[in-house]
Amino acid sequence: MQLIARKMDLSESSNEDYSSDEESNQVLITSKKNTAKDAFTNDESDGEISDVEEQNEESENEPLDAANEAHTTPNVDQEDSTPATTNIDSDTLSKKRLERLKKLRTSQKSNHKTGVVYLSKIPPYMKPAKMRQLLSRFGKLDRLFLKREDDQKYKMRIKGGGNKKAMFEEGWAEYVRKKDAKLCAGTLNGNIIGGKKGNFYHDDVMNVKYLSGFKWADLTEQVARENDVRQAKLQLEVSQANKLNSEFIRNVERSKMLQNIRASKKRSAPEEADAESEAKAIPEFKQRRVTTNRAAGPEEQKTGSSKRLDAVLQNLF
Amino acid sequence: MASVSENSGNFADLKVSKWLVEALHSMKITQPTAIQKACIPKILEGRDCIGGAKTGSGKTIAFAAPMLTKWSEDPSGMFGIVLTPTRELAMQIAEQFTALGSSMNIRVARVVGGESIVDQALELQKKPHFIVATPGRLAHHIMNSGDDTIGGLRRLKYLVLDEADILLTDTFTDDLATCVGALPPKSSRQNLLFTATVTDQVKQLQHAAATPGKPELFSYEVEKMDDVAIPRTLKTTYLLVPEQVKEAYLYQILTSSAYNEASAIVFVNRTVTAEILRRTLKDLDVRVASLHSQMPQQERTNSLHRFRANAARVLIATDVASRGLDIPTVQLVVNYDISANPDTFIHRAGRTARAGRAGESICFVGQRDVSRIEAIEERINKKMTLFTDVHDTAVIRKALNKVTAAKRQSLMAMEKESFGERRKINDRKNGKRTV
Repeated sequence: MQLIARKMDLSESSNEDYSSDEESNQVLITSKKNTAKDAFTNDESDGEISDVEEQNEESENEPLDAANEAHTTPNVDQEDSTPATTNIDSDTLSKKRLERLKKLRTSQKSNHKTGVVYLSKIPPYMKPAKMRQLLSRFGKLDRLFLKREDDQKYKMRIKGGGNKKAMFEEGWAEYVRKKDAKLCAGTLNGNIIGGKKGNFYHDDVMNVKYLSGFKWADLTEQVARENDVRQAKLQLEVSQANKLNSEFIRNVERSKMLQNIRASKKRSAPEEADAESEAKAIPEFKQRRVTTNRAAGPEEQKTGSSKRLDAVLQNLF
Repeated sequence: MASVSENSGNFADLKVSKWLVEALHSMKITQPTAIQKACIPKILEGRDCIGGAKTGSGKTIAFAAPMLTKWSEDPSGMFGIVLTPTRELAMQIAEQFTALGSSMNIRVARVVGGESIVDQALELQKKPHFIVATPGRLAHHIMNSGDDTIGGLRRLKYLVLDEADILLTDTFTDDLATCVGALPPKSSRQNLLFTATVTDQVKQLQHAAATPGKPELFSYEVEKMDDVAIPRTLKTTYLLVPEQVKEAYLYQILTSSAYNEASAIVFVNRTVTAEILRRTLKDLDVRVASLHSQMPQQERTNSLHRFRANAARVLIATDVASRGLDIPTVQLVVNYDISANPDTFIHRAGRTARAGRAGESICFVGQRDVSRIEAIEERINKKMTLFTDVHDTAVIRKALNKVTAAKRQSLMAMEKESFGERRKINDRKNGKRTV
């Protein structure tokens, strides 16, 4: 689990591939918000959005890409056919709908139905968009995360004359329905991708495993928890530091006051004040060691030379 | 590098080759400095040499000129080797050799840590004329490479130890022993040694019994070395600061109106401190770079370039930067930690006030550093004055809370990235005691 978390952490930075995808998602989502028909799925996708934005990771959260629409289940098609009509009275109904959405969001009913598959090997140079298209054949796909190969490996590959395209190492995909995930794993695992004979990925063998009893949240849980712990720790440390700071400020003020008192005493009775200040010894701190290697320096500060060094010197001159 | 000495004279009189005199002229070096005048003829005579000189007194030329002269008479592969304590210094010297010998198609190999071992081995196989090396990496090559790579070392005619007072300490002993073991015996090579401090080891070498069949050792100004003081244009001040609020004071000084444009080097004793300070100041929008041994070599070089080009205004450095670096624009040196060795202070402060310019050095004195400051004052024979430009109230009002928060944040970030973990692992692997 920790490994996974770290990997996700690493790949946070490489987001650029998805930017276009996310944009299209945004558009689709807004249109989707207006369709209150299947409030169930609506709620879910909204929840995802906030999830994804929080974690800032490269998961694509909407299955309704333009390219995908043709392949999606009739259920989804139904959803998409309505926006034009609902747009008109959306203003009046928006409040109601929002409330309903909120309610549904909190209930998170759908969560126990989702299924996650693990892809242990991504066909070379396959990008998330293509992977999404491929996996969407089996049902509505929700989030998809592919881990990009790390920079060092990429550089080595380029150095050895490799292809400059981005390569992905492994990935996770979340299906809205468990049975779709199982179907995907059962069908694709160990088989070639197939399709048209001339396709680039035609002969690549897929490797898909259904993770039973596993939810998407399990992937991100550790990162989220670690972040929380870190934040709490930081707050604690800062408050501790502030305590030390206020102590320092108090000391500065006190020293100023003492100085003033001493100065005024000196003005009134110079000799007495001198004697007093002499009597009050400065607190002794243990001093740090002074060392020297100068030949002329004091003997007690020198660090002795070792026998090995002497042997080297013998060989030098 | 070389400042003009009072007496006239030129390199041709010192029997330096004609082509080299021209090369020096093209680098605007026409008059030899005192150390060059004294050492070049003696080295040309074939005598071993111990030279006392601070960096910047022109000693690179003092050993480069005679070596190159001799080399040009019989340009053979693997002619001389220069050992330096730091990688940056090795680069500086290698650049000088390359520049001087470019007309003679000189090949200089730089064998320093942090760069590709394979590339260096290939370069060594081509039998470069001169090698500028740090002891650790050279020892690695000697231990791990075949005879075709390091066989040429046995024909070397010159061995130069630059900054010998540092090289001849326990830190380098093992590597140095390995390096010297691969060289020809001491009777058949010429040894040159340059140091800024006369240590017991240097003295030992100076009074060592002469090798039979070899001319007498020549030593230059070694006795007078201890008199070197800090430049007169350098203002030395101190500031009493409790340990836990040093960062705030540093930030306040660097952003105060007097210094918010100045380019400054902040010296610390440990790499961890350097890293904390770099992150903290970066969080607080100070243009900062760092230079310490736990950085990848690429980043070290980049930092130095950024600082030289004034892309970074503040350089946080450990003592790897205290010697040899020649950056003329530095106006302020902050001794954030006081080093145990008073001589280190002289080297650190020497980064500013170069060649007659004004400069300033501030020492942060914590409650436990008083005796170290006293030792420094004794060494430089001068009392420091109290630094008064930054007041406690200003620090409290403007910097304290901001800086402590930033510091905690950088500490957490470092913990997350497990800073220093690699070194610990390496130390354990090499059976060293972890501090």
